[in-house]
Amino acid sequence: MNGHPQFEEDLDLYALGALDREEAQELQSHLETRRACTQKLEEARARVALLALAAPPEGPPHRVKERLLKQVAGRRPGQRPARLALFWQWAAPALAALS
Amino acid sequence: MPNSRTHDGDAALMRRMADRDETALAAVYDRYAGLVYSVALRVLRNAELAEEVSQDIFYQLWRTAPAFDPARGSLSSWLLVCARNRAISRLRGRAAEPVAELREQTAVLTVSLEDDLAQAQQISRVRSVLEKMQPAQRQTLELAYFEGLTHTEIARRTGEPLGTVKTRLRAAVEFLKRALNA
Repeated sequence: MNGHPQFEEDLDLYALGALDREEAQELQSHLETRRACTQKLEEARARVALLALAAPPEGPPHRVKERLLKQVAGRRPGQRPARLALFWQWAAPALAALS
Repeated sequence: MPNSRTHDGDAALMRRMADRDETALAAVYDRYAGLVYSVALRVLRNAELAEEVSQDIFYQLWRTAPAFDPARGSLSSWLLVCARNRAISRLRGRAAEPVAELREQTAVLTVSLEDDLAQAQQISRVRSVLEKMQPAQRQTLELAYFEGLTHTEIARRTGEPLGTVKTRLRAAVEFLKRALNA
């Protein structure tokens, strides 16, 4: 990026996604020929990623986690956990009663 | 699975997720769902959509966990970048874009967000920087970040000259760079 201060200044704007199409394409072309700029772009991306922390802190309702874990359990490869869970819900008390 | 393992670092949790350990997913969710949901809600301003986006991101994380390589980027940065990108896609009414595979991650945060205290410290740090920024610069920066607008789109939105928007946004990112590197 030496000798290209304009491009260096634009890296944060590029990482932000604020450059218009032509400007972004010009910077992309520059990056393709200047591998050394990749590190600086990564630094810019890391800075921009931190802006997420400016969002007002909010917690998701607990149902989101419940839905996620249910989704994961329902798609476990090679198993049918949802049905297994229903089976054990029925079978466990019955087996306990038998023992 | 012992609860103490919820204190594993991100890399260890991702290895467990790759081994299909659902308690590791739950631990990662507990650690980062607040950040992910906050970003999605700030972008979308709609709780139901923010919930959907958050769930999608963690489900994608679960599916692609075996591809996670901590050397190529941190889990927290991947989640933050995905939260923003997915929420903006939804905001613009685009079909949900596939979340980049973990192997595509490129942002490497230089700070840790692996526990509540670290997150609170970094949130405070970033908010402090933005509070010191000129209000017009901050507003322009937030339009770019949280709404995914380009220079031209911001000018159209605010009715300000394009040159003014460019100057303002450049000043905002330079301020951010100096403050975060300080």
